[in-house]
Amino acid sequence: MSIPSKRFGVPTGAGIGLRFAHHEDVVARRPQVPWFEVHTENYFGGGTNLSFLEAIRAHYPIALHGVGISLGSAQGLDATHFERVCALVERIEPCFISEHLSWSCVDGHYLADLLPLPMTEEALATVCENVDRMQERLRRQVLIENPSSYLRYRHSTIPEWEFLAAVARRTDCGILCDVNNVFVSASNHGWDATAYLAALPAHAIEEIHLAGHSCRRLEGGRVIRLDDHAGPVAGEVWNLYEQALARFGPIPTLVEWDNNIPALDVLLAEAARAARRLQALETNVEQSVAA
Amino acid sequence: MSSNLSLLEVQRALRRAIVDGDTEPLQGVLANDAMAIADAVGIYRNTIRWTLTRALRLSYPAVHKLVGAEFFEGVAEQFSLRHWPQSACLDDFGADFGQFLDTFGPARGLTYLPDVARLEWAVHQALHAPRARELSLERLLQLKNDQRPAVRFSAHPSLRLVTVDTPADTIWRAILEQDESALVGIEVTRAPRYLLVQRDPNGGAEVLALAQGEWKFLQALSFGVALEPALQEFHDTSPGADLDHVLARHLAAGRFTDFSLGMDCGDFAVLRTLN
Repeated sequence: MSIPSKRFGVPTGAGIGLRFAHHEDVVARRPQVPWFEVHTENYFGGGTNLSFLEAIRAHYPIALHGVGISLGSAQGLDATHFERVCALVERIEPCFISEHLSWSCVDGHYLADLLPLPMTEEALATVCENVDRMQERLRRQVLIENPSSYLRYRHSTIPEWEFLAAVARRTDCGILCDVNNVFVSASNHGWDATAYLAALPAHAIEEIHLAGHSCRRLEGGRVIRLDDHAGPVAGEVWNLYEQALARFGPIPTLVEWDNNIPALDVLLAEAARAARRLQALETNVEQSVAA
Repeated sequence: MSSNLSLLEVQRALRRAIVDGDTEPLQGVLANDAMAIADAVGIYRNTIRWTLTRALRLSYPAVHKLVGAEFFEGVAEQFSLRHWPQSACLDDFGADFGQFLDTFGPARGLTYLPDVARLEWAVHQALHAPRARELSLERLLQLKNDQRPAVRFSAHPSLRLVTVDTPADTIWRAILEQDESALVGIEVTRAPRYLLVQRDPNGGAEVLALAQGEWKFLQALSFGVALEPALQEFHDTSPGADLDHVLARHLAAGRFTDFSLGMDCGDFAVLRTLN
């Protein structure tokens, strides 16, 4: 399934996650950045935030990245929330619509985080059913992002990378490969990050995320990596990103920074680092074609 | 506990661990050791707590400034435990914060604090309300004289009418504008204040203190009471008021988005309820 966009084509290059703190700066300066991504749930109201987004949308492709639809909920999607997502999609006509391979809602309670799913056949069927419902209603492809996690379930029978590949195969959804999340989860659970990337279906990868994480030493000396989006992309993650590009090709890439948000220029510089790697790859491809 | 839990049972067990601190049901379910489970659940709990506190801080900036960051974090945590969000749209979270502050012991000395919170919730709702087209005054003016008494207005989705018992609006304005001299001059006495809140064309909040009769008139109209009974009630309770002028002012300010026509004897019952 291709990604139709009435307004803009699929973005290229490296964009940044747009947060409220940079709204005014972006409108005033109109920086050289190929696209922006926003958190869907931040623009449900009709106030100033939506006005900023509409002003920015006039000049840049916008991707909608949801954090609350809870694709892994055993009890199905929240109808009210889903309709609000649909209304925003209609208004913004985003270049990508993405969500997470996780769950947040049970028994009418919203747990405001992206919680891990057991990797079972039951969970796979649930996620596929919810992704199907979303794509059928939106009549658009949705991208599913691999989560970062700190827990694993004893009764999981499917490795996460195979689970993602199966969701993509069964539903025709795309995959948003968060390279930082691959690194964080691999480090926390003892997986091989390179093997994780190698197991993903390259043709399904539509977008890549990069972000910062931190390390915390726990009691007993164990070190855990926290996906806190509070700093620059780590050196090891840049290395893994290069591996991802080598395997998947020049995939549109997005730099996220959600806590201790720096000045816009810092984020733009981080995106430029990703752009240089994308350009190097494209140059290599051109040279090899020419040869 | 068996590790062959259904997906729903797993989700309920993790919810219980995060919200209630009871990790026992997870012990046989997770591949991690007990210490790693406690650490991981703690990470999720902290992230959620931080996210909810930030959501409340964004909705209640004046309360946050009035009590300071540390106190606010404490009260936000207590509130979140009792009023867990039901929607992933965190703009909806925190509706009962003012009511919660009424009964929150450590804030008892700050009599105005729950009122400031109630006003801030109205402001928050106004700022995030859906957009709506303004009423066509031209269409209204085309009505015949004998049709006008039966006009029923639809209120703008961002219009909020709230009452408080303290000068919460004065405190709210002074604290957000960092107007120290105004803040020092405020005398916190108990007297009802009738407030109107609406999103202004620039996306900010308009907060007005109205006379009681005018506030009740707008409340009646926003409840869909027809113009004639609402005006009659306004006249009876506020003999000196310039009714036409008040109505024209609010029409021009975009309080309503539409109107329909129809008299209903139920209007008087609605007015009695509002009184």
